[in-house]
Amino acid sequence: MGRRGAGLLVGSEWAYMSDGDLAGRAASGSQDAYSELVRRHSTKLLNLAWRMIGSEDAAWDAVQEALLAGWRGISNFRGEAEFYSWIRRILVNAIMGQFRKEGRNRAGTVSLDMPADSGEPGEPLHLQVEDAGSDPQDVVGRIETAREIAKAVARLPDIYKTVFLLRETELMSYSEIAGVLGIAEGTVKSRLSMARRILRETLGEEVKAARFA
Amino acid sequence: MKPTVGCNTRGRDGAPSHLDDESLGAYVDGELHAWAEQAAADHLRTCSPCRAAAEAIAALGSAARRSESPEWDVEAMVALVDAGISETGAVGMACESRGSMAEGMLRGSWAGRVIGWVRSRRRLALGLGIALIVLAVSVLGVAGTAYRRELTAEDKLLVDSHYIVRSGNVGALLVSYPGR
Repeated sequence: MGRRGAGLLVGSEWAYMSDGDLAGRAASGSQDAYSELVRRHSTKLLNLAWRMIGSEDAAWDAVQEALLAGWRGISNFRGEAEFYSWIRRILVNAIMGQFRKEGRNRAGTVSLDMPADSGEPGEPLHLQVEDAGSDPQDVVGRIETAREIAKAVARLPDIYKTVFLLRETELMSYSEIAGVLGIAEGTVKSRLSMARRILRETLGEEVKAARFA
Repeated sequence: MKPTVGCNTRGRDGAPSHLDDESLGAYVDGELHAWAEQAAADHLRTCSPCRAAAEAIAALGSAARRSESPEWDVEAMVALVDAGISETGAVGMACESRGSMAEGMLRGSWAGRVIGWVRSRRRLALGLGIALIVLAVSVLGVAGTAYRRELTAEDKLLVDSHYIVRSGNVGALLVSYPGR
């Protein structure tokens, strides 16, 4: 069981400490310091998990498990990276592990006339914009709400969705994504490209359907 | 413009071509090398379909970041994690390490972490222990052999005739031999 308060700080005083300091105190056994870290980062972690998994309950469970794993491993946190990056990595790995267990870690059914994912680092897909099947400017014009995008993202196969979310909502670099997922940067690039192409196609079809219904 | 992979302004047949999707995405993401980025920027200045595609990629990302998400009860998560920690144990401790006063005193300390580490990795700790013993025996053997090499022939004869040497305890013999 961790120590409460560490005998020095109480209540909102934790709120004035940096993540690094809190992590250091948590590594020394301060449960209150860790609680403050949980308070600060839960929302971002829950949003990411929810977007990846697509279920509020499952996202809740995944984040809770990741935070407990974070507590157990906090003494390994060296402070070289941000605490959020460190705990996010734990969360993403846990979710990807769950996907693998459930057999969800596949490209899924992609109704486009190209290989779903070469898996080879650096292998270009050689897509031409004019072959994408819809005018990109038209797509931009048709995007009515962010909710449409969220729905389309939720329907992406997991391996594309994960890379897309890590890039677009977490603003991670290709090398960071590659490091977290344990794949080559070239694979990140090709999966991201595929995710964007699917989204363009999906949103185009949805809008067309709505227009002519 | 300098021709680059995925960044050609003209195809093999000389017809105008465009940036491929990966290069375009990498450009929007700021992931191209400087020389490729410059080439892509030059191309985008003159190619409206590619510029529109780049804007579409940027718009997708922007909309994804704005997308709605559920209202989360953060304090409930804090309480759940707190409860989980109470069941799990202290930093670096295995679940079964709860209980005794001595362990409670050790929690969070250097000794506590070592104990926690050993408990959570028993096989590794056992292997390390055996390796340390083998290393210590080897060092003693090498040291003893080196010491014997320095002895004169007469001393060696003396040493070899001693019963302790025959049992392999060279160091003990050389220190304790009464004739020296």
